[in-house]
Amino acid sequence: MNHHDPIESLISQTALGQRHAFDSLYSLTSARLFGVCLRVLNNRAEAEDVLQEVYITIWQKAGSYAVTGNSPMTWLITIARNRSIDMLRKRRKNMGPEVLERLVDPTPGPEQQLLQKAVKNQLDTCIDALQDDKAGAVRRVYLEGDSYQDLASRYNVPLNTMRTWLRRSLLKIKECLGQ
Amino acid sequence: MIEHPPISPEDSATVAEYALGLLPEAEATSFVARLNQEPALRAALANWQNDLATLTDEIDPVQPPAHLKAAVDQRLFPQATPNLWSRIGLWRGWALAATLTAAVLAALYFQPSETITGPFFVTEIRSENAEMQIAALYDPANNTLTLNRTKGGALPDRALELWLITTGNAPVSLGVMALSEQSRHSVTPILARALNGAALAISDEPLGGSPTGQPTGQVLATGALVQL
Repeated sequence: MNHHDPIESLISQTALGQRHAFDSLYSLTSARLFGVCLRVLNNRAEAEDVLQEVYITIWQKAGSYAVTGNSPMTWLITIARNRSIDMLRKRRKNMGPEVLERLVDPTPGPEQQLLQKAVKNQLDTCIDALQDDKAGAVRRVYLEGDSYQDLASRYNVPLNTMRTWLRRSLLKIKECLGQ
Repeated sequence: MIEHPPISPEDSATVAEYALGLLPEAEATSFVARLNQEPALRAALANWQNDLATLTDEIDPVQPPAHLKAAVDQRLFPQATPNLWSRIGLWRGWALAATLTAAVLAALYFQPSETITGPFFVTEIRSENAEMQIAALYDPANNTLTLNRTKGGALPDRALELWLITTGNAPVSLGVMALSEQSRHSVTPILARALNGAALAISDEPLGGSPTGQPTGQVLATGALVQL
């Protein structure tokens, strides 16, 4: 762990209840996390609500950061992503199926937009190496909050088949990443 | 980094499913129990979370609106001295600004500075839904708290009572508010010394004020005092 990472030391000071550290942490990271919330939720008002929850969680949970073994940005991004997905799932639950149908497959979807980006990190490379028409499933789960049920309907396979297939893909990705 | 024994492929896939939020609820619960016991699983989870977070690398940062941080602070530290953003927020109301300017100018103009015995305090006492808004200014020259009600009022046949709230103490009544928009309340020198970090609250009470000396009705609005 790199103790000279400024974000990491701000998280540690926030854990001690130092508000000025929390203020600096907010200034340094809120734009990045707000971007993540907006990307997942695609709704400004919801993203603003979630970002508030995210920083309240950060203040309350900063003390448990060290035991996660995450890099500081991963810890923050994971909170933002998970809170956004929770909100997304709550929204989907409250919507009728007809509204959901209209939401399926917008073109070009965010996933396609992501693929169009020239820069590829190692995970992207490994996901693409699956050489499968379903290579986008992991991205869909992480950034769109798809459940196994969503994926099974999307790819038109039984739920158990979907799960077996995705677990196998995850192991291939892991091998490729050399985790 | 500590080396952990390799975990089974079965567990590897489950860790990834957990990181993605895909595990069915019952499985997730029992997985969390194992996670608490097995450091190797926690290390594998951290690896997955670090890798998955890179999926957000290409997302452009977007500056959130400025009021958002103030809202976070308000929820986390409701009794604390507001930070700069909240202070700026205080100047929203014309009524408050006007009250302040008039009061401060009057105090500075009419009183030689050496007779001013302490700092000024201000706040805006607001209800959660903003249906009641009252600007408050404490003037140390005459130990008086002046309230200017800009929005909201007492219910029919009820009164509004003003309370001083300090950490760890029971609320102290500063009296029933006048029916007119402006209401003056004197503050004893002992209470005046407790204003730093204190808050004001308004409660709904019977006519004439609380019969018990403590708030008996609903607390309608609150505001944290800020030293000028």
